[in-house]
Amino acid sequence: MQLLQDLKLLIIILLKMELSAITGFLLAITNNQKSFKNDPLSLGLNSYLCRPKSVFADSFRTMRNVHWDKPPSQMLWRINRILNLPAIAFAKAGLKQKGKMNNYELMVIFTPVLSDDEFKAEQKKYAKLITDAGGSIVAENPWGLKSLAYPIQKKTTGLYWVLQYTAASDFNEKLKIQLLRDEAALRHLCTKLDKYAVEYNARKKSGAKTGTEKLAEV
Amino acid sequence: MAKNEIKYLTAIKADKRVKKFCRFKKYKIRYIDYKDVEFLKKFLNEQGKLLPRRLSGNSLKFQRKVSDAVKKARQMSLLPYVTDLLK
Repeated sequence: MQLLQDLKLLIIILLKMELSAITGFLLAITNNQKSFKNDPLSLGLNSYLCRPKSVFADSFRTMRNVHWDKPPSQMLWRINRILNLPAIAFAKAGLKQKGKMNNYELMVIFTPVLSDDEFKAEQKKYAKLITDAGGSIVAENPWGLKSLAYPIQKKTTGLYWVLQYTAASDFNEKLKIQLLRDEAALRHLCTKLDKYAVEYNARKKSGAKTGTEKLAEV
Repeated sequence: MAKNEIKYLTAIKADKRVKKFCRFKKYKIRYIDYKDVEFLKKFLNEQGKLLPRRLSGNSLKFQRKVSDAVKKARQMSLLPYVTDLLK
């Protein structure tokens, strides 16, 4: 199997005579030794050779699938981190780059003027915005009508809506623009949730003790 | 007047001072939720001002988290900025 691929590479090299071909071939051999793992240079070269233009992109891709003990996408991620290469190159190579998803919590106060249907429509609108951007909704909690601690835009009550979701880090800016544009949204607050917050929310949702009850006696 | 009565010039301190502790550390509360208003009210005075660390005994780390949570709650109109008779 290995021999076949090496031969395949050789043939390509002979045919195309690309400049980087020789290094590519050397790399193909060194790749089989597991030392490539900790060698940023070999990783970098490999990513260079895997670029879509490269004549042996295909053979390299198959090699990567066969010999590397980690899933290719994960390895590519690492290469990208080391070399800080543009994400486009990887997208073109047919491997979807997976961005890191963060946990967020959004709280919006809508005007109390909204009817039930309108309130639901607003919720759906923003939920859709998140899912369309590749995020997912963890939990949704419409508090409904609640009196405000102080008037906002001459209104003393508001419709509260709390949403926990995951999204990429650049998504919130887009969401913010939409929320600021929206006449119905009086105010919004977006917070990033750390691991303790996620745990707390999950506990609260399931009805388990969150630990804050202990403070009640003090 | 009783015969064996002992008199002091200054009043002696009867009870030893209890050392303050950080409640968050003691009860292992790691996240302070800005939505939980009743919880946050424990760290506010009547006017809705934050209690100082010297009174609440919070460690700096958690005092900061409390203050962040209170400020978020104020922004979202869950708690007032200024008021009388909060509790």
